[in-house]
Amino acid sequence: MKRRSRTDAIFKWLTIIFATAVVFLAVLFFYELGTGSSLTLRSGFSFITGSKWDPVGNVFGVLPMLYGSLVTSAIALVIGVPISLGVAIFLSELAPHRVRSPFSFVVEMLAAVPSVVYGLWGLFVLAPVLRDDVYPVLRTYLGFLPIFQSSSTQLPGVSIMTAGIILAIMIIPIVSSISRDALLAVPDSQREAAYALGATKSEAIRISVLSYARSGIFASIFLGLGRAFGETIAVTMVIGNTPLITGSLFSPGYTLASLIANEFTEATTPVYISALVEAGLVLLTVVFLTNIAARVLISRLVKNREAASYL
Amino acid sequence: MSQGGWPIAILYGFDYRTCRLPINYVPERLRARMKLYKTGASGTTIGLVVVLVVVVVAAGAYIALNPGGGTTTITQTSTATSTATSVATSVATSTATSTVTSVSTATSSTATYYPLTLQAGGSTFVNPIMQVWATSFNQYTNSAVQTNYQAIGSGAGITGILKGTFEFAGSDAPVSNSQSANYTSVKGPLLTIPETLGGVAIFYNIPGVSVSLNLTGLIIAKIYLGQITTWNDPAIQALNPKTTLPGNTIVPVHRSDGSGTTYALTNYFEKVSKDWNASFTSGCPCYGTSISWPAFEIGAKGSGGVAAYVQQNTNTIGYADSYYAFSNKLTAAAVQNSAGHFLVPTIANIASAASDFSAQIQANPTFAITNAPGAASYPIATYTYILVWQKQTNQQQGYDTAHFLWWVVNQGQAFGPSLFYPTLPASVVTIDETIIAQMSYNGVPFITV
Repeated sequence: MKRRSRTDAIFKWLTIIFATAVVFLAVLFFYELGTGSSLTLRSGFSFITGSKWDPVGNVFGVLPMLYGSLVTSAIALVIGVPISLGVAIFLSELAPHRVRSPFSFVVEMLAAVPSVVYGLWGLFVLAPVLRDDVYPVLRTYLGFLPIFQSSSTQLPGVSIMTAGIILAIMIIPIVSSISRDALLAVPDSQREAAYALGATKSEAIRISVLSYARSGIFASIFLGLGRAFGETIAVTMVIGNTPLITGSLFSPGYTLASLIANEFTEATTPVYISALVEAGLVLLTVVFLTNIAARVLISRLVKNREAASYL
Repeated sequence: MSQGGWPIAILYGFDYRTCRLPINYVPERLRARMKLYKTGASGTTIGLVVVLVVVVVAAGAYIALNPGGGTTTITQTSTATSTATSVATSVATSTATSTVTSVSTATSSTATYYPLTLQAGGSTFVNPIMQVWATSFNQYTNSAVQTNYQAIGSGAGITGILKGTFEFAGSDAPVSNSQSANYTSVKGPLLTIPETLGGVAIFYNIPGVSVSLNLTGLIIAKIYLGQITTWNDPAIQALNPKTTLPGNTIVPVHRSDGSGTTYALTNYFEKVSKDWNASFTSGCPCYGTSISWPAFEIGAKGSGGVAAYVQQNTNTIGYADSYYAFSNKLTAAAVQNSAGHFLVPTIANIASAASDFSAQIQANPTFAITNAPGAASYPIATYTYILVWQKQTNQQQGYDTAHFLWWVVNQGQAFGPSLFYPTLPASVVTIDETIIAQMSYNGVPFITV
């Protein structure tokens, strides 16, 4: 028994070391980005509020890129999450056992496709189709919404919307496979309890399975959001790389990640490099804040639900 | 590691049949399993894990403390073997320890090279011919000298040479003195060697137009500024009286990634267009590898990205480096040079632009060769440069680097035309030779002209 407790202690300390290493790494990230961007960090908030990015005149403002990052990720979640949840529910609750593993295999294989392949496919196949067949229809029937309006007669295939759709496709494998695991982890007793109360299949899934696996599903959405935020090559190829804030989803845009991917390799002056590193710092900070905000929001939501269920 | 130990227990807590993570009932289950495996010799397992962790941490620390570990090792061994200052003696000492030496044969040179790998990187534009140079020089030296050139972009190449990761770097834009100033006391000035060149091809997608349009620098600049917005603008129509041009809105496409191509094109605009310079509110320089383009334009990644966007979308105009344009057989616009002739880019007329400016290159190797005066010179041409330190800190690497560069500007030029790169004019080769001859170790030059 003594031997057991000693190995337990060693194991515990090992895991503590690993866990703190991750935290240390995160702190190191912020520190490195902070020191690397010291030259432009001094200029303060104009970096975030400015909308002109001019490396020749050393004027650096990332507001349009920040906007592009947030909007493309939001589109990706709006399109991608419902599809992913549908896939996950089908695979864990409804699909016959024989088709489950081939389906899961295909979904997980999508996660292994390199992002440059998605980017090329987006540029050569998806963008022309969207430009010719989808966007004109959207503009005609949903044009009363400002986000589907466009002043130009010839819509460019590359746009914030195209980037959002590519990102949605890219996050589906991650979100669906992790939320499927969360759904599979729900004990059968939960489902049985729901059926015992006379619930139909869809009611049982809604009442017992989805609410039980809620935290796992949200975790999968966070991971998807992180992927959408940080994606570079695929987005760069289909977004048009123009620092613009127009409100229309059909106009070209820019994201922080593609800015860094585009310009870092050929940045030659120290101030320019510093500005690009600061763009990385902004990206990391935004991801950090989004995650915290989402977690706070969800913990409130969960508390309210639980409080409501006791009434 | 027979039965037992924590890892095994955790493994057994996982239900294989249903693939379910045991969330609720793990404690009971684990307890039951633990009873079964009381005799487990878990010490072995823990020991193995600890050894694994130590190995991983040690490897990580080694990598972290030795950036570019391979190069460092070479440096250490070679400094140990060659302590002498003169070339001849150090060759003698080093051949004693190293295995490969090239003695003159029918195919190789008479010189002797140190068997080592030169680390280099930078510009992507020069990469296709650089890889051929690397392979051919390896054959030329009887497999003694390997050159590992990584096409990671000019900016990253410059950082590499400044930090000492690379023996030499390729860059499409010259480096400012302020950047290399911190290192010049030890390594001397950073030498800039124009080693090959290229042009910028302008191409477009206009419905019903398949011929080469005549354009001037002024018109192209105005299109990119948004001052000429339709294809049938009188200025364009006047130069192309036989072509029926549509009244569609022009969509200009530029490189979104930093690029020497953008550098050359905008440098040309700065020379020919007052409107272009006026659009830079903070004054000139009005050119760079990345600039702030007007907001209505499309940015596409890489020459391939620009070409793809232009091919897919009508009424677009784009630009790409001549290597890309030639190898993909794009129909390029004929651009008017300063002598008044309309020329489509060719290897010959890009090289001609280089010849026009050899006197200026003599005085300043980083002189931009856009808007050349010669009648047969294409106006949007640019050198790409090799950057190397004058004072080499390692005799063997410096020796091989100097000889590689010497070979590149002489024998290496012959590989150019088949790869769509113009050859350097003879006058520029001579200038390059004098620059390379400045490379030295402890004050002794590697090559004497």
